[in-house]
Amino acid sequence: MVIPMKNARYISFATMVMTGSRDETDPGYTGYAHLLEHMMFRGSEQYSTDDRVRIMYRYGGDSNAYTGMDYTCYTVRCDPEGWKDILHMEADRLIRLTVKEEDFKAETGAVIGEFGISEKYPSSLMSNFLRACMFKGHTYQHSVIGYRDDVMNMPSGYEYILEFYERNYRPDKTVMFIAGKIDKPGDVLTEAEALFSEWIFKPGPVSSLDHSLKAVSCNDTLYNPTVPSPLLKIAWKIPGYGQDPKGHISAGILAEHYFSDSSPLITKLRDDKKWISQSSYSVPFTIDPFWISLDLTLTYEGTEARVTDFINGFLQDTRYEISESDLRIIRERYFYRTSLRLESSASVLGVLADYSHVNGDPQELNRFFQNLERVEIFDIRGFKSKYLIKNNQSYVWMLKQ
Amino acid sequence: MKYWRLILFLFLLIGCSRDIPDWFYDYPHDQGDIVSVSIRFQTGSAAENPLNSGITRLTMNAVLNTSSRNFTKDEIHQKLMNMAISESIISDAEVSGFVFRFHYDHFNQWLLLFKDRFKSPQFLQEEINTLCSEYKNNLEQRILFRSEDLCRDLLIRTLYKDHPYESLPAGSPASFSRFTSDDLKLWWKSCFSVNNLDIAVSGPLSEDEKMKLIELINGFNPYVYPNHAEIPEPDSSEGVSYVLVENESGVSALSLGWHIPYNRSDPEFYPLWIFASWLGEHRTFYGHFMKELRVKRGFNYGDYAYAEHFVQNNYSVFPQPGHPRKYQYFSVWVRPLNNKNLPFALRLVLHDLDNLKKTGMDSLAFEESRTFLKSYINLYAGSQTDYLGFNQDARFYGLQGFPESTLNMLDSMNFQTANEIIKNSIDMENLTVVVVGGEMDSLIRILRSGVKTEPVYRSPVSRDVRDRDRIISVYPFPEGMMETFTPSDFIKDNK
Repeated sequence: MVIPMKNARYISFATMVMTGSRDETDPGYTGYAHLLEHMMFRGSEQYSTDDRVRIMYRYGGDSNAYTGMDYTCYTVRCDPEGWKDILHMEADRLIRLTVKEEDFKAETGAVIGEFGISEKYPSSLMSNFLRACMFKGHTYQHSVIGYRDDVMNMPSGYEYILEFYERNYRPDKTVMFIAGKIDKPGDVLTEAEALFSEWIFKPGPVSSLDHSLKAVSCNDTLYNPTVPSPLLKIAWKIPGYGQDPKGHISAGILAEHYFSDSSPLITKLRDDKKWISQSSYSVPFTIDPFWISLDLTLTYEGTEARVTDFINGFLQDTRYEISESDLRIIRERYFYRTSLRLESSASVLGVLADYSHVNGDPQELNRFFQNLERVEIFDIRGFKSKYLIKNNQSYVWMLKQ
Repeated sequence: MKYWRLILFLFLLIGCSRDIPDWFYDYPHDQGDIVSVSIRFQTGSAAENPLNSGITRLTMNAVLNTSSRNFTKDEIHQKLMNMAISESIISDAEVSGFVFRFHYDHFNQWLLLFKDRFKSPQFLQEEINTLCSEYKNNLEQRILFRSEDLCRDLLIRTLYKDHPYESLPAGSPASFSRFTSDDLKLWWKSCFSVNNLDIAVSGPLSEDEKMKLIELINGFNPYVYPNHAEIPEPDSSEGVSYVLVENESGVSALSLGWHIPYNRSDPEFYPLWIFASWLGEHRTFYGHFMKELRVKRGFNYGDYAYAEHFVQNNYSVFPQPGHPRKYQYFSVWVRPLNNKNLPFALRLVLHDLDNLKKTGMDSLAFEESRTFLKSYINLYAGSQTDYLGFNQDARFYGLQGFPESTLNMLDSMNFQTANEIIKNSIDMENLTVVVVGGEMDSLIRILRSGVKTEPVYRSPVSRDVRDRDRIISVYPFPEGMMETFTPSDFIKDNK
């Protein structure tokens, strides 16, 4: 998809491969979607690592990537003059990645280093606990970076990474977006079509992941003598966007209504009761069932039970139900928030990838906003009574002792 | 009566004449309906002292995020959220700014909210306490769990010991235990005024709308002239020092740096910028240290160099505008690596810097890096607010326009002259080395004895690499002062 933008200063590429940690179905090989992302910078049939660097260097480019649960996105930003070389280079690594074993082994060191950066973060430890207990039978049970043992064993996974690439990097799972300063969009499309026509479609494996929405409830306390304040992470299992777009949109609206910084629940916990000092929430845009999560930093230990009881009581209190006017305001917020993101070519591509990764269709952004308009208050309330309930709630504490 | 036309003309002329103050910069907009506003004050953490470290950022945060005369904190948050107005604070040593982005539909509502908070912040003690507790908690988490951030913070604090830059803009956990509402009121009144600011704006605003903003700012503390103390030159001849922080981790983070006598206003700065770019642009794959440590040896995630104070722009790989400084330092950042390989990695960095001090850069590499950088800086401004901020940075240095001024300066020097500047600016005798990680006792022994340190590999490396390793593994560490800490030392008091 080519998006010429008036007055853009540079050209941006975002190549989205719908392969993420979700596709890591083989035991002992978690973290390989991310490892493969690293290997994609280690040379392809026609471009060695040095060639890549030289070409990126010539056009003052930034070449980067990120891996998520559902997809991996390769980004390039550079001088508009470089579009053809970049296109050739991107196509070559997607179709003909070549990985030397010694490069593979060296690169596993970078991933092990990356693992070491975040391994001890309280947020990582807490998320990992909840994933493991909430998503048994699904690959969302492990983090994108993978389990410690699997990451440490990566240097011996050379054969497997080649297989993983063959199996998961396919034309039917890939979308390339190009935006920014593009004088002749037709030329770019023609060139891309010619390059990618060589990529042969091979059918991929059929997913056997557990998509069940069966309620799950688990909880535990982790102890960390260095944590400065008690931490709480609560999560409710919800349908994925790919499974139930309107349901997932309802989840996002409910999370804004109940857990945003100035919501009545958070202000009561923080300003009135003074039980918490900070809060944040997330509703990751996933294909399969995942979570609404709420992270709280408590002011002091000893209030644990009170906090969870209060949250559960509040969610059941009809005085704080979402109203029609709340819904109208939240819809507007979505519109303005997204319009603010459509500024540079790179951020436009970020928005497109965020929405289209669930099915590879760039129109998903429009469909999301159509669904947002269609979601009714009773849909949202129905969603809440089904999913934001105590027996579908899991939580984990992190305390000093 | 025959002069009535002239009188009417003069009357209209006077009525229409609108003085645009010299602190107001209007940039052409090309971003549809988005309005960007960047308000920058010439004040920052350099004006603070160890006891009130962080007060500038806290005060600015309190202005934006606590109650004003007509709106409670929650009303403000709710309105901002409903209009998806993006507000942020960028506070550094010498300048501090408010940055706003919003849809044009909300200009009048934003102005109303902005005016009330800007002119009548309430600084309610209870709300200040909440903010302080948030700040303190974030800082403690940063110190305890983010070894790389602690490493870079300590590099700055050590390089600028007893200098105004020593007080970090983020403050220290200890200082957030004692701020009062009165402290913040006084700080806001004495350090922020129309007399020490400039504003950069872009967006589809009419002349009337721009005048509304100008009038509002014109009346902001007009009789206060904040004291802008001259920043003294830091002592750059303190010798070599090692700051070692034991956190009992399996991996260690490394940052090292030294003072340089140039900033962006000097032509001599630009060869150093090219040099740093060649050594390793932030979070890119191209640099010399990245090739040596990650690509060839698989030691870690990344290795980069910086010719000036660097703060990453949120989630991008580019610098954030709003951190210009009169005095700069050159630094190298080696991301966490296995404790066993830390001494070797440090030796490699020191060895290569030492060599580069003798030989300088290769002319081809210099010219390629110059060409690269001239394109790469065009990527810096990911948004219009970034673009405004980089232009404000340029003005701080007395330069006209970004990126034009930088492009000119990058081109202004031939290779020979530039290479001499690079060689002369590598200061191996006044280095500060900071390591945050595990097995510090072992590292101390190695630093003191200079014993050979072999690298540990997961897989065989090439013969070239092994040959070079033999030389690097015995490279002598420069002698220097050694201080050891634990992370909790930086929480307990004002260390």
